[in-house]
Amino acid sequence: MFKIAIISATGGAGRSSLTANLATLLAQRKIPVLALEFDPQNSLSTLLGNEMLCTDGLLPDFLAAQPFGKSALLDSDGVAYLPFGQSDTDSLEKFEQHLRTEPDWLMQSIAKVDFPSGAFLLMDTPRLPSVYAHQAMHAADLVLVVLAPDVRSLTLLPAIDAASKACSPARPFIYVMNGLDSTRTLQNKLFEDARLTLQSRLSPYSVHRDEAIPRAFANHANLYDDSPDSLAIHDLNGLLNWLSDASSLDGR
Amino acid sequence: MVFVKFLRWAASQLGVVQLDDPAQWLKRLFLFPSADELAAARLPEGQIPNPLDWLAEALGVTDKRHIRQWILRLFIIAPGQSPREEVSFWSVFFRKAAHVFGMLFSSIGMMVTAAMFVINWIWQGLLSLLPKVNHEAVGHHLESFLETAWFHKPVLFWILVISSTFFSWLLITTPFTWSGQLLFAIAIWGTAMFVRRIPGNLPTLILIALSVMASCRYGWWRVTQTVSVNSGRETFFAISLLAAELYTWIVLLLGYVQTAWPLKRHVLSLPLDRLLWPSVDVFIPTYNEPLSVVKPTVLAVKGMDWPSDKINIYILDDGRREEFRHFARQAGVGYIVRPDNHHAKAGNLNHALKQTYGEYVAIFDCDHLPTRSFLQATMGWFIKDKQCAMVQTPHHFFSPDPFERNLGTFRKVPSEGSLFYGVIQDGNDFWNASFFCGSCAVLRRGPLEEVGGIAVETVTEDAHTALKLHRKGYTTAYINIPQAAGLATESLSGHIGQRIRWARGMAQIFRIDNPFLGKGLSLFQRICYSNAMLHFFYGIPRLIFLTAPLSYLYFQDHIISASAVMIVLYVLPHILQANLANAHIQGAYRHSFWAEVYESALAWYITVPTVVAMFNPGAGKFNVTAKGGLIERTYFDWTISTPYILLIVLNFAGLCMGVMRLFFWNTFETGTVMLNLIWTSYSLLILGVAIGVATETRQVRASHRVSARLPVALQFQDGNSVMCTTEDYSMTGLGLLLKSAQDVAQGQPLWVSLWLDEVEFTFPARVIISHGNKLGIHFDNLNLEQESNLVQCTFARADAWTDWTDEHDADHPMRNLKEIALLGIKGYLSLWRLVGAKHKLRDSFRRYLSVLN
Repeated sequence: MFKIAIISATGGAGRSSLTANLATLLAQRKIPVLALEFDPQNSLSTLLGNEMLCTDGLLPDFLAAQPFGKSALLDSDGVAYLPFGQSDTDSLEKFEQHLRTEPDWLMQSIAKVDFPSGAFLLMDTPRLPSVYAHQAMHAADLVLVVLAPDVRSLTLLPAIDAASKACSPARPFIYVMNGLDSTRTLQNKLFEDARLTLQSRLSPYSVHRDEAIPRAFANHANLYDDSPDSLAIHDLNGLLNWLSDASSLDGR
Repeated sequence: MVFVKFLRWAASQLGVVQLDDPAQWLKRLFLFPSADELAAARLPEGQIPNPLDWLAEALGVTDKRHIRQWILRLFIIAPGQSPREEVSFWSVFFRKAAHVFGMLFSSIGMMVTAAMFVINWIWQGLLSLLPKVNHEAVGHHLESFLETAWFHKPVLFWILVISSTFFSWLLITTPFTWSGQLLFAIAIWGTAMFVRRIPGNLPTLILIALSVMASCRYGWWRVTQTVSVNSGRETFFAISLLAAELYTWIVLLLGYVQTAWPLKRHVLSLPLDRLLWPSVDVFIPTYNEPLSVVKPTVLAVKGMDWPSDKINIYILDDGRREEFRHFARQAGVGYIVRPDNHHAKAGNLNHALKQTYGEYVAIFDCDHLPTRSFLQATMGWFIKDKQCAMVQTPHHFFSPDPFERNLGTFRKVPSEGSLFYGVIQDGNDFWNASFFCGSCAVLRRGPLEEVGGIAVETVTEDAHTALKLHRKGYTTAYINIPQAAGLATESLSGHIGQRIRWARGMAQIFRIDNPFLGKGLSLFQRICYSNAMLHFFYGIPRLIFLTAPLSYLYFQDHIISASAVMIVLYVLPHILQANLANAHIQGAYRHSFWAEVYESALAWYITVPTVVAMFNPGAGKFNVTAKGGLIERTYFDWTISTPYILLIVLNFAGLCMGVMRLFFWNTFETGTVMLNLIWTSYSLLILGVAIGVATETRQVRASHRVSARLPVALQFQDGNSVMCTTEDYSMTGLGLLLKSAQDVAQGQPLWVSLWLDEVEFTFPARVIISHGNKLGIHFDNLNLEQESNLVQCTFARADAWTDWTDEHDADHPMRNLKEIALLGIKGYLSLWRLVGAKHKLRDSFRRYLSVLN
C-alpha cells in the first residue's frame, strides 16, 4: 500500500482533477487504487463521473461514529473512492476541532482499512495551509506537490518547504507542473526555473494544458477512452511511471 | 471476365442460386435440383451465357449448328476478322522482339530457379551427411591453443615460419594437371567454408591466408605459363591484361595487410573535472555554399557539449559574403576572411590557424552537422595519448549519393564510402595509419603547426597532412562511431568531380611525397598509405578488364594462352577465395560485386587525372564539390555517359561476334568462346548499372529528410492535442505518423513539440498535407533560437546516426549478383526509354524508312 498526498500552495492548481485522472489511469493498469477526498469541497465524485454530489462520506460517517471507509464507492472504471460527504458549518467546526486535537486521526483511520497489497491511496486535499492537508501529509508515504505554471506557485515554494520540514519523519516531496502551456514562452521559462530550483524533485513530465481533460470531465467520460492519443494521456502515463519509480526507490 | 461468364453459365445449368456459396456448389455437383430450384437459378432468356457463343464469335462462326463451318474456321480466319489496321512494320517488330526477349528471360529465369532449387536440395542432403561441428567451440580451442606457453617459444615460431613458407612456396609454384588443380580448388574452398563460420578475428587471418595462397598460385601460373608472344598485337593485349591483373593482385594483398585486424577503438571518457578540459577552436570553412546549408552546421556546432569558455567557433568564409558576416554576428560565432583564396580550403584553414590560439582545432565541412557528443567522444584519446595528433570520425551521409539515388539502393546496399569508413580506416588505425579526411576531425595544434599547418602541395590536403604528422612520429586515432552527418554529393557529375580530385591528389602525394620513400614511417604505415594511393589507380586496369575479352572476340587473340578449362580452374579459386575473405572482413560495409560497379562507373574519369598527376603533379586545379542542389526532373547525363555508351557498343558488338564464333566460326574451341562470352556479358551488365547511375532521378524535396522515429506532440489551436511519431525530419518540416487516421484541415497552424532528453521544445508550424494517419507539416518562420533548438532535437542528437548501418541488408553474394544483373537490365531499359523520349533514334529510324520507300 502506497500512500500519496496531493497538495498545493495555490488554489486552482488542479489537485482534484490530477487525483481523479491518476486514479483512473491506475485502475486502467489494473492496479488497485483508492481516491480519498480529504477536502470539504466534496467535488471529487463529479470528476470521477458521478453526476450528483455525494451526501454520504467520511464526515457523516465520522459524525455517526461509523467505521472509516464505510461510504467508499466504486466507479465504472474500477476506481474506489471515498467522498468527503455533505457538510455544514457546525459539522466542519466539530470535525476540524477533532483533527486539531488528534493529528494522527487520518493515519490511524487509514491503518484500519484493509487494502490489497500493491494498492495506491491518493489523497486529495484543500490548498495549504490547511489542517486537512497536514493530516494527509502526515499520513502519506510521498507528497506530490502540484504547481501551476505561474509566478505565484514558484514564489510559494518556500511555504511548501516549510511544510515538508514540519513533517516527521521526513518523507519525499516531489513536484509536478500541471496545466502547462508549452507554446507560451513565459510558461516554458517558469518550468525551466522550477527545474533549476527543484532539479530531480520535479517530474520531467509536466501535465500539459489539454482540452481533452475538461472535455472528458464535462462528458463524464474516461479520459483514456475519450482521447487515448492525447498529450494529456502521454503526460499522465509518464508521470505515473515516474511516480512508480519514485515509490519503488522509496524501498516500499 | 470470361471466367465469371463461365461461372454464371455453370450456375444456371446446375441450379446454383447463390454464386458465392461454396456449399451450394458442392451440393449441386452431387444432387440434382428440383424443377423449382432450377427455375429460380435460371436466368431470363437471352441472358444465359453460353460458352459456345463466345467461341463462335471469336472464331467467326456465323451458324453454330454447322459443324463444317466450325472446322473451317479453326484453320481459316473469317473475312473481315483479320487485323487490318495500318501498323508499321517496325513497331510490330520491336514489340514482338521485346516479347520474345521477355519470354526468353523469364524462361531462363525459371530454369535457373528450378536448377538452383534442385542443386540446393542435393547440397543440403550432402551437408546433412557431414558430422555436426560446434564452430564456437572450435574457435575457443584455436584461441586457447595460441595462448599456450609452448607455442610462444621462439624456436617453434621460427620452425613454423620456415616450414609454412616452404610449403606455401611448394603449393604456389607446383604445376598441376586439371584434376589436381580441381582438387586443390575444392580443398581450399571447403576449408574456407568451414573456417568462415568460426567466430572471432582468427578465422579472418586463415581466410586471408587461403585467399593469398589461391591468388599467388594463380599469379605464378599466369606469369610463368600463360603469356603468349605470338604477334605484336597479341603480346600487347596479353601484357596489358597481365599488368592489370598484377595491379589488382598487389592491391588485394596490401588490402589484406591493411584490414586484417580492424582496431574498433572505444570512446575514452574525459576527466570529471571540467576545468581540466582543453580549449578547442572549431573551424567551418565555406566558399560558395548557400547560408541555408551552413546555418544548421553552425547551430549544431554551437550546441556541442563543451564548456562555453573553452570553445571558439569560426566561420571561415572564402566567399566573403555580407550575409554570412551578419549571420555570424547574430549567432555569436567568429567570422574570419582573408585577402586572397590561395590554396583553397587548406589555405583558408591555415589562415585561420594564425588568427586563433585554442589547444585543439576541430574542422567541419560546412555541411557536416556534428552531434552534441562529438567533442566528448573524441577528446578523450588526446588526453590519454600525448603523442596523438589527430582523431578522425566517419563521414556519414544522410542523403543518398548519385549511386544510391539513381539505382534506388539508399540504406539497402552500403554506399561507396562505407567501406573506407567502416573497415579501411579501422584497419589503418591498427597500424597507427588512420588518416585525416578533411572534416569531422580534431587536430592538436602543436603538431599541426610543426608540420607547417594543413598541407598545400596537393589537392588532397587532408591525407597529406596526416602523412606529414606520421613522418614526425605522431600517432592518429580513428573512432568508428558516426558523430557527424552531412549531405552526399548531389549529381553524378559532382560525385565524379570529387572522386577525380581525390584520385588526382592521391596520385600527387604518391609522386611528390611517396610513402614508401622518405623517413619516419613504419613498414605497415607505408603499406597502408601506399594502398590508399594505389587504390586510386584502378582506372586503367578496370578499363582493361571491361575490354579484355574483345581481343579474342574481335581478333581471335588468345591473350591467356591456356585452355579454357585450366583458366577457369585457376581463376575461380582466386576470385572465390578473395570474395570469401573480403565478405568476411567487409561484408557489412561493401557487398560482394559492388566494388566492380563503383569502380567501373568511375574508371574512365579518374584515369586521365591520375595519369596526368603521376607525370606532372602540379597540373590541374581544385574544384569545389557542389552540394545542396536539386535535380528538378529526371534526365540522362549524356556528356558523362558517352564513354560508357562507347564501351557498351564495343562489348555488344563483341557479344554478337562471339555468338557467331560459338555457332559458326570457332566451333573447335567452344570453351574459349563461352568463357569470353560470359566475361563480356558480365561487363555489359556492369556497364548497364553504370548507365543506370547516369540516369539522374528526379529529386522531389529541396531539403533532405532523415527518417527517424522521434516522439512528437501536436497542439492545435482549439486546445486539442495529439501524440505521434516522426517518420522523417528536415530543417523545414516533419513527416508524421499518427496512431489513427484523423481529419486534419490543411493549412491550419499548430504547435509541434519535440524533446531533447527530457526538455520540451515547441515550434510553430502549419499542416501541409494530411492523408489517413500521415501528416506533413512545415515549420512557420522559425527564429534563430528555434532553429537552433530544432537542430539540437534532430540532427545533433547524440544517437542520431548510431544505428544507421543496422538497416543494410546482409551480404548475400548470389543475391547481389542477381540484383546487379537486374539493375544492369534496368539501366539499359531506362536508356532505351530516354532515347525514345528524345525521339532522336526513333526519328532517324523513320527517316531511314522513308528513304527506303
